[in-house]
Amino acid sequence: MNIINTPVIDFHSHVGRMGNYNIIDDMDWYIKNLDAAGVDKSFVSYIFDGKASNCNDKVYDFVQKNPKRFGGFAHVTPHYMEEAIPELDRAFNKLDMKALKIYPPFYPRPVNHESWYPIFEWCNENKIPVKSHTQYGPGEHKNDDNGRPILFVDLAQRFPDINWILAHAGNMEEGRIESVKAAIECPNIYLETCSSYGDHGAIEYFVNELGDDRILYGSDLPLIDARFGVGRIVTAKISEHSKRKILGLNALKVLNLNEAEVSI
Amino acid sequence: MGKVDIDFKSSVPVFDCNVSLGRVHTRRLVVDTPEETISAMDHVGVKSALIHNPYGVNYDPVDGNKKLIESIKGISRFIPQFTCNPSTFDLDSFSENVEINNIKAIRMEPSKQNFPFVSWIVEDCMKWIVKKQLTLFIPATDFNPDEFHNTIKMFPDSKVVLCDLHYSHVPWALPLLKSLPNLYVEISKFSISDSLVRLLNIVGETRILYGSKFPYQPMGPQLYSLHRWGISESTLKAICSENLERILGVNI
Repeated sequence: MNIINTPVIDFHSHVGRMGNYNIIDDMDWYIKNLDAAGVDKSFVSYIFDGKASNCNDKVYDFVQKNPKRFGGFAHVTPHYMEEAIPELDRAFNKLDMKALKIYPPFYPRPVNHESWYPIFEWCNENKIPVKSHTQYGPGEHKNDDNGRPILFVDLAQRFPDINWILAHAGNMEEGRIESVKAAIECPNIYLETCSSYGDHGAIEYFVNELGDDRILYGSDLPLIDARFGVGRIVTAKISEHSKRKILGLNALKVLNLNEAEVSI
Repeated sequence: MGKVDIDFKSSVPVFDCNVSLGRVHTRRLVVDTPEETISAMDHVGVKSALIHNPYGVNYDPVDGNKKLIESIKGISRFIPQFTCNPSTFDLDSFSENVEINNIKAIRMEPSKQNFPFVSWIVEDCMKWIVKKQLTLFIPATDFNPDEFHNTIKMFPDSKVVLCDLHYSHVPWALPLLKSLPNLYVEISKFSISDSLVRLLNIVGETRILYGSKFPYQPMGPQLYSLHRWGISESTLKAICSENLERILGVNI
């Protein structure tokens, strides 16, 4: 056994009941799952309520029950732009959110369409990291092309003070190739690893092509058990040093946190 | 802080029941040779693997099964699994090839082979599978659940493994497993929270099989995960190898 002695930070998890999968958001259950996986801190979001303030209140309430183990990512939607900017202000200045989570397939225009700009202008001005769902590849996934990884090159160049995190790193092989291409082109693009489509060699591909500084471990808890995602990093053929960075050290930098703030 | 074993390797023998070996025409796989597959097995401590050929799944089972036997090169750590299409094959010649190659497990992918899993197509094949005490593997993505349920109900003595189970299948697949006592479950893609607890509650430890779906997925993550559930060593051994050894009738 070679136990890691650096923090393990989950950059991608969710709160809220999911009756369709028989999932409840019980705090004790989350803690047990994180403990079993060896995760110190998990950053949660909620994106399924049409009113973004409800999403952020739900996240805030959850995090407040155990702020040592959880942090919050905010959510807003361009469907209600008139609410989005005030909600961003509330989420980051009152609710202590650490990043913004967006989900482009929920919106009928590409993520780099100008109708998104007011949200990104606010994040750019306030240097808020933006994590976006990304998926690109075969299959019928409604509106997934609106969050194609390659679209973030435009955004990363247009809004250079945002660190852009591509959740799932494109998810499928075509998406992974685009994600790596985007990240190579833009130093403010990061790749996050959770996926239920992750081929053998996907983590190695990221590290070999991009290096290990801009890859972040995520679980997608509770849709995917935290142990599984940690296992993808631990069993990849990459160096110990790279594993430590991906599992937590990189996240510390992106979120401007220190080890003491996240260690349990 | 970070209670993660960064150098993980399985602590128990592992028999992976879901490995594909060979090239596909639609993409370049990271691993498509026996040597690379063995290397991946060694990396996380997989001793043996039940292997099928992707050509047999996607196109022609007869040619795919030939390719399979050629590609495994007599490597004893590879246990061959034949694919079949009961709507088009010649049962007599298929049966003969199964005997010659000492095949213990059959794979059907009905959607990919363009047939429904219904009794008026698969009945003869299912009777033969039961008679020969073979084990049938079918991906959860490849059938209509109601048709599958009705058909398997007709063959209570068959041994059937539901593979590629994904969290999106939960609403129908868990009741299916509960309803069919001869249905086993392979867990390569079943990584939803509480995945193992859910399965243990429904089918018990004797009907859960470790599989990776390699090379479309790595072998390590689910294996790592299994070692972190706090289950007994006997349960871990059952899931990682002994259940598969028992239903196939082989020792690895």
